[in-house]
This record gives sequence, C-alpha cells and structure tokens, in this order.
Amino acid sequence: MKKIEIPAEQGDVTLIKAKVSQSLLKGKHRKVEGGRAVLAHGEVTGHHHSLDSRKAYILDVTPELRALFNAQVGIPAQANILDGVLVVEKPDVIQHQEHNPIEIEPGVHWIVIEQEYTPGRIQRTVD
Amino acid sequence: MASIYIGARQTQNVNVQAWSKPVFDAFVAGAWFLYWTENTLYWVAKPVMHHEVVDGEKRLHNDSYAAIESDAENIYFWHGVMVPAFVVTYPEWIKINHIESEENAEVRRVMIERYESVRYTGAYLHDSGAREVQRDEYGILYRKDLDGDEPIVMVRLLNRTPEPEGNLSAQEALDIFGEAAWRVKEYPEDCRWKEYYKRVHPELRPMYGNDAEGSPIFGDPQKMTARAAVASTRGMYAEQYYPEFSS
Repeated sequence: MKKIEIPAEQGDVTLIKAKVSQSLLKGKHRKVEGGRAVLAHGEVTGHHHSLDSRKAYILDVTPELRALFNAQVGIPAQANILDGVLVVEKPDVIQHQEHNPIEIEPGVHWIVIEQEYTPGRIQRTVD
Repeated sequence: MASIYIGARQTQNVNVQAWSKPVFDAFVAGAWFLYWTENTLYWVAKPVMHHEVVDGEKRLHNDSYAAIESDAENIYFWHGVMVPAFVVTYPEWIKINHIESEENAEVRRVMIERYESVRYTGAYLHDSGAREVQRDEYGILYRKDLDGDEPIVMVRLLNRTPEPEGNLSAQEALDIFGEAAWRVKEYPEDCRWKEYYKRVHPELRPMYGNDAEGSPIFGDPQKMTARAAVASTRGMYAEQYYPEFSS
C-alpha cells in the first residue's frame, strides 16, 4: 500500500501531492471562469471550489497523466478517478461558498473528486 | 398491414391498393393497433415512448410520467426498470412497508432512490431502523440488510463547516455525532450544521471509478469503520487517508 500525501481537502475535492515531469505539464489548461481556476462545480448550487487563475492553473486529464497518477498512488491501471492536475505557481487560497478557505503552497497536485457507490456503477459526487 | 399498400403501389395492384390505402393512411395518422368486428372498428394510437441513452443503449425512462403512453395502458419505467406509477409520479407516497414487501430487487432499489428523492439521502436507512455498525471521529457507519439483495451501507457525516441552512443545531450535532462533531466546538453555539449520507461499497472497497465499458473498479475489502468508508470514496484505504487540512 503506497503512502499518499493529502495537503488539502475541501468538501468533495481532495488534493494529492504529485510528482509530474515538466513535459507532462504542458498539456491543455482547463478554461478559466471569471478569473478563477475552478476545481469543481456544484451542479445545483452554482458553488465552486476555485483558486486565483493568476496564481494557479488546472490541466485536463490525458491518458499519460492518468497512467502516472494510477502508478503513483498504487491503484489499478484502468482506474478512472483522476479529475485534473492543479499547478499552484504562487501561494494561494482554495475558496468555496460553503467551506472555509484553505491555504495552499506552490506545487503540483492530483485532483480527485469524491465517489459514491450505487449497485453496478460508481458515480462522482455532485454537491 | 399498412406496408402492404407500399407493395401494392410498387406492383401497381389497384385492387389491393383500394383496401390497403385506408389502412396505410390510418397508420400514418397515428393508428398502431387495429381490431374490427362486423360493424365496429377499434384502433389504438401509437404509444409515445420516452427513453434515455446510456452507454449508447436506449432504455425506457420518464422522470415525471409514463415512459410508455398508450391508449391501452400507461407503463412507468425508471432508468429501464418497470415500476408502479406512484413510484414515479408520487414518490412521497412510498412507505417503508412498500419497499420491504417488494420482492423484485431492482424495483426495491428504485423505490429506495425515489423515497429519498423527496426526503434526504439516507432517509430510508434512518427510517427503516438500520443498524449502527461503528462510529469514530469521521462519522457513523450504518448497515441495512435486505432480503435477496446486497446490504445498503452508508456513512453519516457532518459538514466540516457550519451552514446557515443546516438541519442541526450545534447541540443536536454533538448529541448525534459525538466525537465526529469535534469541529462544532470551534464555532459559535448558534451556528447550524448540515448532515449528509454517502453510500459506500458494502465491504468498504475503495472506489476507483468505472472502466471504459462502464463497469465499476474496486480495491480490497476494509475493516468496517466510518474512516475507511470516507477513505473509500476517495479511492483510498483508511491507512492512507490523513488529510493535512480539510474544510
């Protein structure tokens, strides 16, 4: 069982410390919304977990990033829970309308969204 | 029968066209099933079908009325499962005894989902007297055994940050959650707190999402604790789950 470092968790969003080569950090950035790098949206509420887009950005998942994540945290190769990669370039704060802010230091983090069990299928939690 | 008219047009058979054209016209106008006696014609309109597409497959579903609307009979489906009408249209009518007397596991599963849709997640577990399995600083773990189906296992949690619309006062949160409500003491007494339930694998296997075919991927069973239940929702084992900061 691999050790997993979890520097921050806010509601249904968990950030796991990542080791990613510079070449893999040149992928497509997730769209910035109103100056915010958004980790996850609430489907009904319109709330979101986000950071200042001048200090952080989010990479979309690629097959290479997913494979690296699965290997680093020691889960099956076909696992499918990586939601993105957060790259924090300057110290910032993760904000959400219903959760206390969490300070986060520069670094690279895997983004994992909480899962819920239903018989026959796993679904992503939507708050 | 309506298609006979098309063949008669192709073969230019006037006699067949003469009797088949009215049938064809009726079909185009919406007649689906015909039955006649010597002096009466009965017809049923084409049913209106409501469906959803999941993994490229169509399945019957309508979240507000019948999935098959027909002159003969309306039939109700919830994500491909045929259910009594009230399960779709009046979920507030569903009672615990309806759920527990239903013999079909799929229908029972839908009934639980609909029961909770007009109450709250975990309402069935709570109202049916589910058994508390374990509690720790993360929450309370419950199990409800069902005849002929896998048990429902859920973890009851308290939000880590107070919310004005929370369903619990600070004292209620402390009474219910005990050590799992340790954060409550860090906030003013008039703050309100929201509880919620998360369903987890009956053996608390870590959840790794679904593969390309849509089949779920799980880790190994874990000791039945609330902490392990929460860890499993992040694809982890209890021994791996130590967040440095959380809110």
